[in-house]
Amino acid sequence: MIVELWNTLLDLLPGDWELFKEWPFWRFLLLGLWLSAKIAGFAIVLSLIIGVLMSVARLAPLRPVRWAAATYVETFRATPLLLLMFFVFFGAGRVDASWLLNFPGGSSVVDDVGNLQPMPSAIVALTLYNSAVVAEIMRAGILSISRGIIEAGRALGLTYLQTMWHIAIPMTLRRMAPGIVSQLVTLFKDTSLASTISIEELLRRGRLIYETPRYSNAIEVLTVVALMYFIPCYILSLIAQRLEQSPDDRRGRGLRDRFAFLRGPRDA
Amino acid sequence: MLEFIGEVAHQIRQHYPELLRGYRMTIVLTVASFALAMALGGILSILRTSESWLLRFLSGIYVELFRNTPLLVQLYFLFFALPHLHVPYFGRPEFFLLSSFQAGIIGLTLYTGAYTTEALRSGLLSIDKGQTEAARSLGLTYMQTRIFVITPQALRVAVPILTSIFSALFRNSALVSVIGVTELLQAADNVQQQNFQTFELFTVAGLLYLSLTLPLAWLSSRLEKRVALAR
Repeated sequence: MIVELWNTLLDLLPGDWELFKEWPFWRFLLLGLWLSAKIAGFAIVLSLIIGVLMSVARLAPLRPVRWAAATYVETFRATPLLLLMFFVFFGAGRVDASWLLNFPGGSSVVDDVGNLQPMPSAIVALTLYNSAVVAEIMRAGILSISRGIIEAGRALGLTYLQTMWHIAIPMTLRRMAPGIVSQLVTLFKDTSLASTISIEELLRRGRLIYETPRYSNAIEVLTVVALMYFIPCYILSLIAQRLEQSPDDRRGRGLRDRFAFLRGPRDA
Repeated sequence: MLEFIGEVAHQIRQHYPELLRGYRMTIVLTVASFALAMALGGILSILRTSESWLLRFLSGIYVELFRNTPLLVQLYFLFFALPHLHVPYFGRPEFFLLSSFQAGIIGLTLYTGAYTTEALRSGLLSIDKGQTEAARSLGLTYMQTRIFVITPQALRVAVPILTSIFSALFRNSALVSVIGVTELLQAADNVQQQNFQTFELFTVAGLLYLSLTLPLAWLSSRLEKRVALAR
């Protein structure tokens, strides 16, 4: 019943939607979306950890540490992600990483000869770029905390790292949550770049379908692919918008505000 | 390490004409699409804050659609899918068949335009309502108020976001290599495919990108300070 309804709906649409009447094509694309999400998930966790470490290192009292962290952040923030991906993926052949095979699960990271596999390469590239961005966001956040709070921590006898870990980082994470979530949107969109280094994620699977001469309906397939990227990204940006409002604002707001793009200027 | 640096220097000496051509293409792409995106953002941000809900809705759809889908998908759409598009009454117009350069410029413009629209909109919304009222009571029309009074002030507020959009655009311009525009990354890739000095050539490309983006970051932080002082 639902299937029939869906099929008639597809018939009404202009263009060639025959493909999307069959579940296998949906399955094929959805598995790609799952792979994209997995890449994004690994990259998010790693870049949050490294980003927080880097932001702390950038404000450290030791000058060499500060410089090292600043070099890392400024370099990777200013390099195109696609270049980083090529760099890691093709450059991996120069580095022997076969020692990773000794660890459990190492064979999913490196192949028999000791080269990094495509998946880990993409995750590493995404992590390098996004950890630098997260570090910048966190640094701005830590600097925006009033000095008195950090000085109070120090005065109570906490070390620099303890002050950061117990006071500054939790405060900053909460304060900078909107910025970090909207960076996650960018990260998820950027997983599409992994298609260029032969990973069969969503975009590449879409291309595989429409480049088959029998189907060759690029418009329809790319529309579906774009929607599959759009939905999670849009949900994330709505979350970011919601986090930006203060808790008082948030109370008592209904469905209307969830469709925030309908909302006009507040004071026009 | 020293050997590697020598190898990089050798590659630069050998292939600088191609690489510099790519470098120029990256700059052209970025500057041209930023100018276009600013124009687009200027118009759309006014629509985005207009009093008609329909205009607000339509421009909102544009912004959310282009901000929440990957640039790569948009570029593929423009370059591979648009020529197939069948428009009622028009058929398949020939101008849908874009060259890779055109598709690159249009794609970058539309993608960046969504971001500039939002940046300018937040600028417009931050301007006090009293400014509008004062201008209107002095006899300026609605559009005159918008263009001559509100927009200049909004631009100033939006400067920090706009500079970061500009540097993101520099990095995003590398993506048009996938549809075959010979910009910096593609130029390095072309050479690399002939002599297999992959690591060295991508290092050179990376250094060239940094030579653009690092001074830009420095300049934009100075600009932000000046703007903040002027306010």
